[in-house]
Amino acid sequence: MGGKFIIIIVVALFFIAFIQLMKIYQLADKVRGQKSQEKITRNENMMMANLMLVFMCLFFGFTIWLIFKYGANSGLYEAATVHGKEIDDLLMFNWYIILPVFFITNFLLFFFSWKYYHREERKATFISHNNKLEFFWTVIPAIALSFIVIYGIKTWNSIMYNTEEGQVVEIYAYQFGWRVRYAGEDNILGKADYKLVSTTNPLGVITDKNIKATYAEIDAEVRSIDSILNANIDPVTGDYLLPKSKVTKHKEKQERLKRRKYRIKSGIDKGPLNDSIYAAANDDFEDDLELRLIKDQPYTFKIRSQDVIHCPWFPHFRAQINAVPGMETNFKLTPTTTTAEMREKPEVIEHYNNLYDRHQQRIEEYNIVETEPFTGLFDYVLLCNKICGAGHSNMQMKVVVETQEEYDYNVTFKKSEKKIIQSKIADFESKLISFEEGDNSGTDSISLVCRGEVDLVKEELKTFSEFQDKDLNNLKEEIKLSLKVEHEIKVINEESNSDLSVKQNLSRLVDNSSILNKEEIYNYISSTNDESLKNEAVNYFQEIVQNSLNTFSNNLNDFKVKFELKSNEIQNKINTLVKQELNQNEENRLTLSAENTSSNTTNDKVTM
Amino acid sequence: MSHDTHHHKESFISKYIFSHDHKMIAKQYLLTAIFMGAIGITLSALFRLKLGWPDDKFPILETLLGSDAAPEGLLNSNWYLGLVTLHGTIMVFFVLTGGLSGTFSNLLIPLQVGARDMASGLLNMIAYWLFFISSALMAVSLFIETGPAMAGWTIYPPLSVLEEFQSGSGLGMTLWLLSMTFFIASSLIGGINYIVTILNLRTKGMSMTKLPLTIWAFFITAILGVLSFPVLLSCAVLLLMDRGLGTSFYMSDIIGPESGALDATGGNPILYEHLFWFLGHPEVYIILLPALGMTSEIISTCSRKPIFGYRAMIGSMLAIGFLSFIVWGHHMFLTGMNPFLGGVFTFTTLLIAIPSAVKAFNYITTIYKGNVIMTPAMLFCIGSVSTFISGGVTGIILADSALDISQHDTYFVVGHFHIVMGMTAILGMFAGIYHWFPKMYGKMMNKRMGMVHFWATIVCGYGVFIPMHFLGEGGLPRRYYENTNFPMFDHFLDLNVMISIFATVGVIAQVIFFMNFFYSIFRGPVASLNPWKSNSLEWTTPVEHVHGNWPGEIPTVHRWPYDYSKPGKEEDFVPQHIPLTDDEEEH
Repeated sequence: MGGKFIIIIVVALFFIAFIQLMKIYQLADKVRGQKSQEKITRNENMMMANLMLVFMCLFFGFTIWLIFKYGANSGLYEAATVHGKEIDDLLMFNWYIILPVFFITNFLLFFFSWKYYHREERKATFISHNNKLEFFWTVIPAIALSFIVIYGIKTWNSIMYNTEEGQVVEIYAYQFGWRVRYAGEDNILGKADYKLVSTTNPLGVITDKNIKATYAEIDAEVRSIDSILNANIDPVTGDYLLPKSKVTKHKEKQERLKRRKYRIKSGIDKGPLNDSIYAAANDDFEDDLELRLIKDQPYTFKIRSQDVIHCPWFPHFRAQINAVPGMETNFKLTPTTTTAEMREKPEVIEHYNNLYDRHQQRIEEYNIVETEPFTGLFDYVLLCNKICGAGHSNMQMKVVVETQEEYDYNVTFKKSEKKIIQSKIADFESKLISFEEGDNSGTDSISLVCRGEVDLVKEELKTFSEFQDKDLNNLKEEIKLSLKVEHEIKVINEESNSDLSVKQNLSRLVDNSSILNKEEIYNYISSTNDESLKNEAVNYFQEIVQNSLNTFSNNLNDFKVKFELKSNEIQNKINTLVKQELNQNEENRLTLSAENTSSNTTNDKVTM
Repeated sequence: MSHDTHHHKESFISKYIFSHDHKMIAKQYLLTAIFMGAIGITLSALFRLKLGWPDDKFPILETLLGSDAAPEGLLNSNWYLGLVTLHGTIMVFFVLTGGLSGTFSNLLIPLQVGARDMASGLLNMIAYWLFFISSALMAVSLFIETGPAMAGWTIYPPLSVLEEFQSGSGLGMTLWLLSMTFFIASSLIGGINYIVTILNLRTKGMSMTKLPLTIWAFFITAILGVLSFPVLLSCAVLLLMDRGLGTSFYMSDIIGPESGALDATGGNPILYEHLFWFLGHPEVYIILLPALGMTSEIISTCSRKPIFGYRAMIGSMLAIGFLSFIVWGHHMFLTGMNPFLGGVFTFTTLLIAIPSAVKAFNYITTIYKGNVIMTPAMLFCIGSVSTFISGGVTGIILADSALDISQHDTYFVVGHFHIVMGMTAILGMFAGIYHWFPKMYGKMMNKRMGMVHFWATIVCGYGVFIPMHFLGEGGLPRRYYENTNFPMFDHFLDLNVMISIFATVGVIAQVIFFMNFFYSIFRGPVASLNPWKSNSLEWTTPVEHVHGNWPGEIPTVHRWPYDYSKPGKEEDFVPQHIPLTDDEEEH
């Protein structure tokens, strides 16, 4: 309180002082001569004119400093796509025209203001117009602009009317993140409908399985609203305890869900999908963590949005187009530089080292705990470039560009692993569904319990498989590094000379060997010439390679065994649950109402 | 009219509040605009704090905005967008449209064309009070719990339709739309009044080619407004219906985070964008042209030299006005509209560069061989021309649809339009205030403070917006609550601090203006009849305002308003009402 009071007093005093100063100033003016506020003195004119020049120099200096410090595409480097390079060329062409115009016209403005400042003895020259001159500076910009227009539209057309049908990838935007769907081997995306979007089917892809799963989910949601409403009824008066607006909201939502349910139901009633259009979805696969692209492979991005307008923006690719709910937009591009290649560029390394230092400085200064620490390595990113709400500034997805071989390893291998898991899950689900269809009385609660169980298992499997993926990745990195070292050592072996301290140093490093140190060792070996040492090193690394390969295959086997065990365990669990539930049903056939309330509570748990 | 015959005594209310007198209404517009402008720039300083120092806490934010918006001095991300949105809306509509056109069209049109008042004083009053209601509603929306509109000043649906997408799309957005509806009504009524006055109430001898360029600028501005604002109205009405009546003009296939899949199908948000930008682009020139018109007048007066290429200036304004209606698509190159349209809009947009270049060169040539008096108004005009050039050239890049792919919605755009539209217009507005202050209040503003104010403003303005071009070239998107989520932008941390410092200093520097302005209204030295030795008619009216502007006959006009330093004349100016001598050529 005291602080605020002091501030108010200071401000008030400031204003009083200001008014007094102005009074004194005006009295002084009166003494000097009446209309001094209307007349700008010679000194003032000269000072302002000189300041014009000073300002111009500062302004130009500042701009030039910025141009040299940051320049065009600061921190983005040469475009990493085919069309991006065209855009960069066009941009530079434009800058070469624009910058001279900017400097010359600004210079003329400030220079003339300085040169022709007011002096009593001078008189301005009466020039009202000059048709020749005006014609001249209408035509010159017109000519310059026509070059810009022609070059610009040509580039635009070559980007937008690109007829090459590349690999199809769907980018799906939502508040606040991205999902991608690869079109798979047939290169056709399965059709999608927003009415089928659910937690199990985030993209709304139309398949028999998705339709049924979404149907079940909506069904559960309709019930959960009922139970929420029922749980909030005053037992005495029979009114809702919730505010009226909330009740209407719930009811409206329920109505909407019911409409959606009946629409889906009518689809289900027509029988399984037999159009080939829908079959295209079978080999599609989705990812919500990263977007993996192959170098030199043309891509067609098909872009959709779930809720509001977003805009996928790939700064390094010089690519963006809006994601508009209710319509599909397209963008075609061909990446030309892999992530690894970018990371090897000396200017990128230098820039990212600086970035890393600046980043760490900030982290330390403010004690920030990062969920994903910055590695200091270059990565392509996808970000959102159209205002979309509170999380707009953090809608990011990692983009990886790699060679065909790396892609095959990373995506296809993972995919096959995932497929095993997915087929298992599908197995459970089909059993569940057949169970639901076979029995109509009192089975809802069973199916819900089972479904909850399956969801849990799915979660578990997901984390399990992710864990495995990470392990495999590490192993892969290790093997790659070892192989690289091995190869290098072989090359170096061909030369020979002696060095004394090398051996000691190496042994120190080897003793301390972790994955990080290997790079150091490798560097060290590259710089030495001792032959025995090299032999030793070769042996050492061969051993590592062998070990790595062993762990790799062991882990793989381990994974498979664990997976079998886990899936059996789940199957057993479900079987027992189903049995229990059936028995109970039989026993409690007479006390059906009591059964219903219990099923409602389980229902809540599942949908929570 | 019977202005001269009976001067009935006016009550306080009819003189100062519900006045029909255009000069009083002009002052009301100006004061409202200054008030709104103070809010608008303060908001920008507040969100620049967050952008410059993303990890620091500023208790002042909590003091000013409340604990919902900035708990413990850390700005909430929804509120950040709210501040950005209101800053944009206030500056674009309330300061630079309502404030700029409203003040100076009202003040200068009757005075410079030689009319006793506006064609309809009553409509003029209604227009102001609609503007006032609209300003009040917009300001009030800052004080509600869920916050003001937060979808950016362009309020694209579906973000602006459902509260579940963003808290500001609830009551805040309703207030925004309501306020804009009043604003549009005000603009339309005002615009029609300006057009009618200019066409019908010119004094004897005042042909269209003898009009000062200010009047031409206001005339074209009013036409642009009258043609484009109705489209915004329809656009807003459709949005209101989507929000309240369950229609789906702009909505299709949408899944709300709370309500799930909505029923709306068949609409398209791109329709909204088309309707909005059909106003939105002319709006840029509605803002710019009055400033350029006043700049023409002041540069000529203070250079003691006729404006170079009077007819070319009118021609280029007409060309800009016409072209402004066929370029709106350049805001939408990347919405997924037909690429063919992209090419067409690139072409039409770049055409605007030609009349703009003509204008810029004409200004420079007017100063060339002039006798430039550095009044604060003239300083602001030079600044305004400079920003018009500096911001205009980068427009060439954004007009290019292919380049837009890499620049769209980055800070490059922010830098560009703030310089070319924001700074040019605001510097032009300041120039107008300093120049016509003696006409408005009969007092003089302090020149030295004006000079300091100018240098502080232009240095800070360029200091803020030139670096933004480089942020944009580095791919940094606009409207990001914090840039630190992407370590790849960390090399801009220090640049952002610099921008924020310039912005804060620039905002604080406006205090100089506020103090000068309000002090001079009450205590400034009394102005003489024609302090700047200007030619146009307004300086023939008495310093003390009278109803009907001229106590006697309205002077007849014999010449154009730019006879400065005419050869063979003793004085370096010849006012418009002085008849031509026998041997004198017109110009």
